[in-house]
Amino acid sequence: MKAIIFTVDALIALGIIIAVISGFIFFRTKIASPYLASQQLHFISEDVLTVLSNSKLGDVVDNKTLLNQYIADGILNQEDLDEKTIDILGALWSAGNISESANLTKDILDDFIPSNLGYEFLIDDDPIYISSDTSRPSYENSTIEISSGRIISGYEKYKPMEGYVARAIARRISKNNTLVVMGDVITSSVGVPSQNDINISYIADIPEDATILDAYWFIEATWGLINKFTCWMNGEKISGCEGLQGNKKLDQGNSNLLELLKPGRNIGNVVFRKFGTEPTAGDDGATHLVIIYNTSQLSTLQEFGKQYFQTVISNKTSIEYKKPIFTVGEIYNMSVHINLTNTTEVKNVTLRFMKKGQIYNISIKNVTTNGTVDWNDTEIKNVLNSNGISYNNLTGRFFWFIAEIDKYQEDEPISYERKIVGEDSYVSINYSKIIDIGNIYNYIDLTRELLDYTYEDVDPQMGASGFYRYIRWDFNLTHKFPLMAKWQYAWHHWDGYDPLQLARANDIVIYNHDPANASSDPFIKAFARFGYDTKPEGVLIDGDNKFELNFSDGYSIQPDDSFGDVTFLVPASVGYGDVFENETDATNDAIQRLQDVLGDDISAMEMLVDSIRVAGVPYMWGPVSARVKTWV
Amino acid sequence: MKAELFSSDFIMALFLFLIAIAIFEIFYINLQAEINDYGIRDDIQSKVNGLADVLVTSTGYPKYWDNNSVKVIGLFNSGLINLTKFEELKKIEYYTAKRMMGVRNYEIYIELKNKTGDVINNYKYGNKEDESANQVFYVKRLGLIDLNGNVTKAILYVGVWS
Repeated sequence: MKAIIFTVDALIALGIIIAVISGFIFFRTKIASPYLASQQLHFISEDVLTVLSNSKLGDVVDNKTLLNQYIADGILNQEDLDEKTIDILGALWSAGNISESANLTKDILDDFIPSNLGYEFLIDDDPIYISSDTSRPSYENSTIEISSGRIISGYEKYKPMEGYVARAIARRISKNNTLVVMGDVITSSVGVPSQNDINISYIADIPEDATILDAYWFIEATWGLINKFTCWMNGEKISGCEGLQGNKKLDQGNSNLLELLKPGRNIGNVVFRKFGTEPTAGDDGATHLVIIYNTSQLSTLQEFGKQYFQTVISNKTSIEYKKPIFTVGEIYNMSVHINLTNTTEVKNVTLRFMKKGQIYNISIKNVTTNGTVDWNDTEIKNVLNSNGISYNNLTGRFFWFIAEIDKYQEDEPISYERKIVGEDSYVSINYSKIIDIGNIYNYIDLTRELLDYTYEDVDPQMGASGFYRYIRWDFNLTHKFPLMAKWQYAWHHWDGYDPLQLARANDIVIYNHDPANASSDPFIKAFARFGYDTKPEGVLIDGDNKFELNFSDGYSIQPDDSFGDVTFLVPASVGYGDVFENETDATNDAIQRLQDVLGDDISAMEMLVDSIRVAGVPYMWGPVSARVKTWV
Repeated sequence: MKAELFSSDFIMALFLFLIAIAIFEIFYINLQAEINDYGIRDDIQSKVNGLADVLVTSTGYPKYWDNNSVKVIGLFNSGLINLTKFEELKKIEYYTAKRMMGVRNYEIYIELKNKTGDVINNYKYGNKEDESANQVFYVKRLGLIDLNGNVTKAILYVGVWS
């Protein structure tokens, strides 16, 4: 019995030993290095790319019937057979002939790559050919995959190497443009119960050949509530504009404004009168006259060189005039000239400069015997420089000159008439003209009202009166050369608050008054104007643009009574384009390209199209990646 | 009776033990051979990959070498596997070539085939493996050759064996 038990033990022990050794040998033999298999795949994929890059198509395609068929069908030509294989495969891909490229690829590679491998050829990640239609290993079941790539480029197929190219120039156009006359901030103040009228002129120069399509005039008296005003256009009283209070938008629906406008110079007048206990009367800077017209003039953009004051007559009190200035281009020098008539009784004029809400005194000057007063560049520049402001800081942003015609004060007693002669009162600016606006054949300027805006976060202190603390404007300038975007705002500030004022253009901060940060931009009490040019880069671009305003408690804006516009340039010509086999096609292409550039608001009424014959102008595709994948 | 039992048990156990020892020895010897084989296999695979890569992607040195001037053997030239260089390779003495290729301890065999698997114009070099070969590894490299003025696809087979 003992022997039997002993024998069974020995047999079990022997079996275990045999099993362990056998298992060890079995698994040892199954260990195969994936690195070596990867190396093999890498060699094959590299070799394939080398062969495709170094061979001529005619040398490596075995199926001559296929080649002849493609030549007969015009897909290939005889010369292609002497081109590098990869160039032809790429050219077919770029021309959209993927299946032809795939057929050639398969013919070249299928009897060349070892049959135990699967493979795929790709150009710019587009699959050209995959060996899934053969008995090769499928990609889905692959255990190792390797790919190699090369950057390739070449001539486009089916594009003529010689033929005609054409360009087109708009010599005469028809464009729908918008003229905007923004009112400056002009006020007077008289003590009750006396009365004072302040008569302000608004000049709108419409091209002589224009057809006026639409117009409206938003007029807002200071404080926007109970001050009264009456208005005229070209000497005629505008219907519906008699003794109005606060503000009013005059348009075709409620006035005869459109009938009173004419091509050429238009002069509108508004007489403001201080009512009751309101501190001042006049224009609070939110007034804007908007005229949409059609013209054949390529250039209608007003130069920045002389920015005129509006004619103002205050029949019994002094005047405070805040003149916003905006310039695109580097400022070299500036001067201010104010004409008060040679019969004026005005004693003196005080001039100040304001930027970012900060006011700097320039000087007070007595009026000369001929009724004028002037500040030259040195006088202005010295004051600015002594306050750390250079002219470089002024480009592409609003800054202000403030003129007091006699010492201005609120509720002053009545005295004599003060008049600013707008036609001869101006801020003169010598500046660099980045683009020669007047150069015919170059650019067409357009101004558009910014109508796409949204707002939220209603100001609770203003109740339901439409004042908001977040406003966003969106506008698209694709294929345009942006110049500037400008706004005037119906603003409100609660005394005693120091609120956030944040302006962002395309997410780039361009103004930031942060009450918690003393080094941030200063607070602007009258956020009446804001504008910017294309600097810093990205704020105003060829494409989608947005502009956002954020305020905190104590400040808000009424977007519906505010106004924004954008001015941009459209090229009046297109250069030479693609090569066409015949002149007519080249000419038609140039005309179409010009129309695409001009867009909906501009029509070319007369075009100069010229074409020339060219030769040896290849079209290129790529660079793109050509890739060969191999797998087992 | 007790002594008889003990004696037969002992003989039975000793017999089984010797069998187990014998089996273990046989497996152990085989395992040692396997381990040696794997070492050789890895070495051959590494060498054959390196050798094939140099042959098809390198011009060798000097660039236009012949059997007298050659220092490094490479067959590539102007995008092709250069047949003139292959002819020069054939003139190099076998053991010299093995030494230059860094495969002194193994045998090598190189041949150039077309897509149907036929050797092109007797472009072959070295000793092809025979039945005594223990480990044989081949690498296929794809390339182009200029055969009598016609550029065509070709496959270079590079074999290393022991």
